[in-house]
Amino acid sequence: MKINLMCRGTLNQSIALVGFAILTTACSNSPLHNSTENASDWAVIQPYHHPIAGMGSSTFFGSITVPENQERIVASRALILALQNFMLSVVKPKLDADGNIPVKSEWLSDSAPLGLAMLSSYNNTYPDLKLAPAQYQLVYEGQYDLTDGKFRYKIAARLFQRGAIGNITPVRDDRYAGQFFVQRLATEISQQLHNEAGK
Amino acid sequence: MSTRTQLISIWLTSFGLAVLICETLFLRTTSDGIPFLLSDDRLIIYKSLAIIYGPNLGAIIAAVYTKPFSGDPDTRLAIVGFRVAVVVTLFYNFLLLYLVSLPHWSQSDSVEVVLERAKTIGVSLAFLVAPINAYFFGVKAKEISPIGSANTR
Repeated sequence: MKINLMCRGTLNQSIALVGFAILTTACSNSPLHNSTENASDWAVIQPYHHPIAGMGSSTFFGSITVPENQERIVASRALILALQNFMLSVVKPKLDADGNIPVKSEWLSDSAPLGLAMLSSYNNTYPDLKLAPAQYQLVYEGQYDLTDGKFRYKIAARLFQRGAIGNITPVRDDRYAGQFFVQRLATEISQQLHNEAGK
Repeated sequence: MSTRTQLISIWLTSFGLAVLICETLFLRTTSDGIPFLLSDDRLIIYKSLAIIYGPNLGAIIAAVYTKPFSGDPDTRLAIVGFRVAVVVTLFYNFLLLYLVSLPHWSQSDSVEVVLERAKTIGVSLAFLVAPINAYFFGVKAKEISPIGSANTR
């Protein structure tokens, strides 16, 4: 699956970092911001269906059962919980009155440091695009949609770096494989979708 | 060695040491193997050093080509003034070097914060060295001999 990746990554630094991400998002012409409805744009595609009387949830192979009119809540909660599991929260857009992310709006997370375990896992997976020793921070952004009976999520990962006492700067996108980080969140969202649907 | 040469030596040595101190930060790492600074940080470091040392060194270098003030300085004043100038310039430059070298001893603040602080303190205390620079570099120079006599150059 081709996934769009964009690389640009104490409290003041986090604010500056998120501000930078917002700014570059606004200026970016990446596929995330295009209106193409190509399946390859989506990091997660999960079909869903509404409960039908007399039919079990296993009737639709690979599809999850979602109560009618609950799709938006399930999709948004799955995303928010997945981000929370990575110590992240949504900073853009403002959540609606129910605490959900509006459908089709572009969302942006705050930043979270990349743990040493995750870093070494990445370096083992991509030895050719190994990340040099530094402190790394990750910011996710994306969009989700519910059309055609599918939960669909676009995800982009932005990696930032800094020395122990240095300034935070974006990592150039040709220096790392962002797919690794996008796939982490995609897997977590899928897991959360199944959890939410199972409630 | 003329008064100017001695004073400019202090300034250039101090600037060179500040660059050296900052550059050695790039060679250091934490116990986790994380470098203190990445190459992108050079921009902020050199920008800060230019602001800290630029006005003084710039004025001194400019005075080589032009004398903004006319008139011969008083001989007695030149001798006493030169001693004061050396002490004050050394104090000012040691203070700057201490402030710039702080990240070597403590990593609680980012290098940007440390240099910003050095910049503010340097600018605030510039009144100590600005008149001295104006006097010794802005008027006709005097040579001070080791025994204290002065000759107009």
